[in-house]
Amino acid sequence: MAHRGTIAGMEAHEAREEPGSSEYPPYFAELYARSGGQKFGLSLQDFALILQDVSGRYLPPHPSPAEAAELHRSLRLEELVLARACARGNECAWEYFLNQYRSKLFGAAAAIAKEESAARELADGLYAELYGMRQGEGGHRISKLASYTGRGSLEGWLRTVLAQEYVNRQRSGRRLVSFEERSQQGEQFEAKPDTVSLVDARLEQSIDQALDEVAPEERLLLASWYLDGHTLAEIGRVLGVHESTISRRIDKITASLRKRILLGLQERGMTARAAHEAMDVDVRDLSVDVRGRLAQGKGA
Amino acid sequence: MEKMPEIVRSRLARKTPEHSAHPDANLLAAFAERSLPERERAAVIAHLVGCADCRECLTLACATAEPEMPVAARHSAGFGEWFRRWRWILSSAAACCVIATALLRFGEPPARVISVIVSSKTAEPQIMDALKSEPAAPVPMTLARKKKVEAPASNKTQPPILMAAKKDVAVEAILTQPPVPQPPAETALTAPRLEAPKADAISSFVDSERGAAVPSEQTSSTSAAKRFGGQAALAGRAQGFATRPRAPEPAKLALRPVAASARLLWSINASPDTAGKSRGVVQRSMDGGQNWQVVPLSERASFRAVATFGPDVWAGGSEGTLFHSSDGGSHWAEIKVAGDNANISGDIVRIDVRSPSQVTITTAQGEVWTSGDGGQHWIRE
Repeated sequence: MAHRGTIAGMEAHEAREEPGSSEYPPYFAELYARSGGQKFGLSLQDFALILQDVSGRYLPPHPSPAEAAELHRSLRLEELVLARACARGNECAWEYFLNQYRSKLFGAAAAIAKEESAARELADGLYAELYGMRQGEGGHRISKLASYTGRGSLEGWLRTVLAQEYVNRQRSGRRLVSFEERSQQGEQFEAKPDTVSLVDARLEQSIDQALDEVAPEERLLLASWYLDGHTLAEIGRVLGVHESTISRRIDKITASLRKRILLGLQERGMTARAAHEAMDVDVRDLSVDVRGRLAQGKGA
Repeated sequence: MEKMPEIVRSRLARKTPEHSAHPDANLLAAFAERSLPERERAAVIAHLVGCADCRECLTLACATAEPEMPVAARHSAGFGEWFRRWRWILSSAAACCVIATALLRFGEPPARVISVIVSSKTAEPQIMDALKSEPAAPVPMTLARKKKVEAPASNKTQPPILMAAKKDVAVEAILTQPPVPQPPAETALTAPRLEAPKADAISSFVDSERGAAVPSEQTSSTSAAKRFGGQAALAGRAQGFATRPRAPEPAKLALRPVAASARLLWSINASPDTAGKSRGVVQRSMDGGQNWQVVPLSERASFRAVATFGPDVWAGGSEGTLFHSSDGGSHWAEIKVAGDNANISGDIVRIDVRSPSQVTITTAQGEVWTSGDGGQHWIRE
């Protein structure tokens, strides 16, 4: 059934059968037929507005027809019209969405939050946003489903939105206290001690140069493994490869990085032995307050 | 795993550049599903390198319900690390030994002939006089190449998809048998309308070695409702069926002798009368594609992909419909593809079979499901 109303940024129209409009590219009608938007009360004009909205988000201001067509054909049209119809308040679409995605939504929340009550709270919170508990100007519902653009699957989008919400909640859970607040409480702040860096500048330069030469995807692997502490399986799922492949790649990248750094150090005048020793320096041991240590020694 | 010097790790953490605007959930989801064009994918990667929050979001979004190994378990040393390095070589060596042993040990494969026939006279297939089957002999491994079948993305008329079955035991056996009489002309090939398979027992196989027909329990004049049996032919197979999460009983299909020069092919909508149809039906040819027989698996489903590995045949189609036969198409079971927290959604458009137990299916929506036990359990990747 169709509903009359307004959605932020879009005009909704009463559903009626409209012949293909000459102002739209000819492939719009084909995509509209493929999307099945008619059964959810979306007209061809509504569908065209949706596609134009998506174009506006990902393409430059005046894209070529070929660029626009390539983007439109790559979209998940069926899921896109379902989401947008739900956002418009189409009951048929909402019922279909619940049947298809309700269990997936809760399953994804369980996989993210691990703990059952947190997962339920996460899923319920998103569920309310998807339905549109907030109201905009004019009293219409603001549904998060209106921001789905069909670039990926609807289920994947739901999982990503859940993950973002989870990360936001985790972040807001860590209470940050400002300097002003702390000084009002009487806490004094010492000036930063004058530390001397004992790291050889040539080492830093070699490392920076070697890291610059690493491809972005390889740096992503290194950051995920060494900085974030993700497992091989987690990294593999993100990049779409088996964890054993990830393991081999990380080994290979790390070995290659080490080799390049050593080479860089030798090019900068270090001997091979000195280069190896420099590489094994633990940076945590380098933040030494030399002046303070010397001052204590004088006083003693 | 090789360790990264602490100094390098600290430079890596410090070196992350000022990142651009966070990609929205749509782009991150599309990135995880590998559906972004290369240019956009590179832009997302460039952002992810410098943004730990987005990396965390992406990792969580790709999380499954399966329990993960703790972080400490990543850094396994000793035997685990050694095994991880050498497992590929050990696996390859073991596989070579098995193949060599099988080739040396097993001689001529046993003769097994199976076929499907559909009558044009009546709406249902007729049962021919047939033999009782012998238990299936073990099929030696062959080194034949596997060919994959992909169904077209469009839901409209499906062009015929041809796929040569592997040069397996059954085909070799057919070629070594003397020619047998062709069936009468009225047994043309059409797509019959079928009722749901019933539980009556029918076991009808042609014994190509004996060359004689053993009367079946049901004659050809039996009503349509009794013409399909649900009882598995072999005890071992029935046991395997019982453990699978599937719906109706497997449909048994009648057999007839196959010509000595038969070459087994599987397709979807290959015959002229089905080529223009929007609904896909599974078809088989035993004469190199000259004539096609419809394999009536499901009245409601439209099939879009078929794949084989030896005698194992898999056919998938609309709404996650999946059928499997482990005896070259004589008996079929419907397989339910589902994981712990999810069911398959969408049409199956691709089936990859690496072994009788390793199967991967892909849907039109990009879902990838894998089974390592012949379809009994599935994991969504």
